[in-house]
Amino acid sequence: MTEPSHCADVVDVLPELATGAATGQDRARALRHVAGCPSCRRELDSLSAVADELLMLAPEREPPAGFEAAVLARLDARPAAPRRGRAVRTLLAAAALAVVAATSAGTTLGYTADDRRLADSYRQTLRTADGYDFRAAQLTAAGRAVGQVFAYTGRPSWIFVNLNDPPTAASYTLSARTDDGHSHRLGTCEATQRRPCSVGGTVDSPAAHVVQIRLTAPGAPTLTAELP
Amino acid sequence: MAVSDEALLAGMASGDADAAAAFVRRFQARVFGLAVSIVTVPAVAEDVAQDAFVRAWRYAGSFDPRRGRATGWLLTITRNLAIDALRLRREIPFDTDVLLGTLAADPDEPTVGADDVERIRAALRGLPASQARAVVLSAYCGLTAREIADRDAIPLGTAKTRIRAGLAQLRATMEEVDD
Repeated sequence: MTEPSHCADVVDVLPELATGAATGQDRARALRHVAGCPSCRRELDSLSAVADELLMLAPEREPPAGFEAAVLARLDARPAAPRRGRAVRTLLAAAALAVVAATSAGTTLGYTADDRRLADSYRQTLRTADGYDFRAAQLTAAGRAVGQVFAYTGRPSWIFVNLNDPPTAASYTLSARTDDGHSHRLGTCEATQRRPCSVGGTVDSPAAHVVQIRLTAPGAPTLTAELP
Repeated sequence: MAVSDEALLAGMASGDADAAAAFVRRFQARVFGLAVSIVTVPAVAEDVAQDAFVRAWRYAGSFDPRRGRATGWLLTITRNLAIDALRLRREIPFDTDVLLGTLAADPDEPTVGADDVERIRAALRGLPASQARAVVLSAYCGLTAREIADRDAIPLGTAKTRIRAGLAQLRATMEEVDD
């Protein structure tokens, strides 16, 4: 049942895969093959482009008055928050690969050209959203790198901190200092037994105004990151 | 155009209400128009169109710009919801020839910059009727080759060939002018 399919077996399902009409088993079988076959993947992509273009033939028609308001009211009632939050965090984590590899001294382990392209494309996606800003910086303790900080300006803005190498076991308080001199408490990072921890939160003002991140704990050295 | 479709979608993915409003305004005629073409009843089409935007909002984060354009993604969502609505409301009659006629007809007001669309419209007009029907039933109504074969009383293999040949011919026409 899990025998790999040949291109010949799949070629007559590709058009239906492209139009979205392929069903259950046919679809699963074809997708499994396409996942590992660049030439069938190219064929599927070009057929999909045609199918997409076909849908553009339907004549445009303005909906009745009040349509836009009705839609927006439904969006308000159904915040995409959980999924949205996870999506942003995943994007940040992916871009972290590129940042960490770029800044760590001489280590390129796990950092390939593909990772760089992937991180760039994620950053590109974030940047093209109406000029939204994404910045990253190293978190240091007495000059030693102990983690990374990410600041994403959007609606909402996020600050996300990874503390990979806590200098001491402590419950660190995360605060962000903005360019108007104010300090905002964002949460705590529990580095119990010096294990790595992360913390993040939304900030009310655009993250672009954040100039410094601090992690403080009584009796422990302060960890800081200067945002570019 | 100040902001690209994909940028609006990225804004929606981060929960930006202004991006969502701009997105709805930009695409509402296209989405509603497609919904009406398939379900024909305007009140049903309005539900379908609203649902399409709600779904786009929820899944904006999963759109991958490397896989295609934002318009195609949104219209596919719309098409799938329209098909579901048709299946639920069996009392709505569906006429392939009417739909084909609508799609092949020249638009009342030619849209600026719609050369690609007009090219595929001309290509559709140029297909043998049997292939045009098969392609439209597949792309607009989501009918499988098996369902098309049953509906038009033809062998399964013939239905598959018509869909494949029709799409291939449309693709060839689109690629012709790009060379």
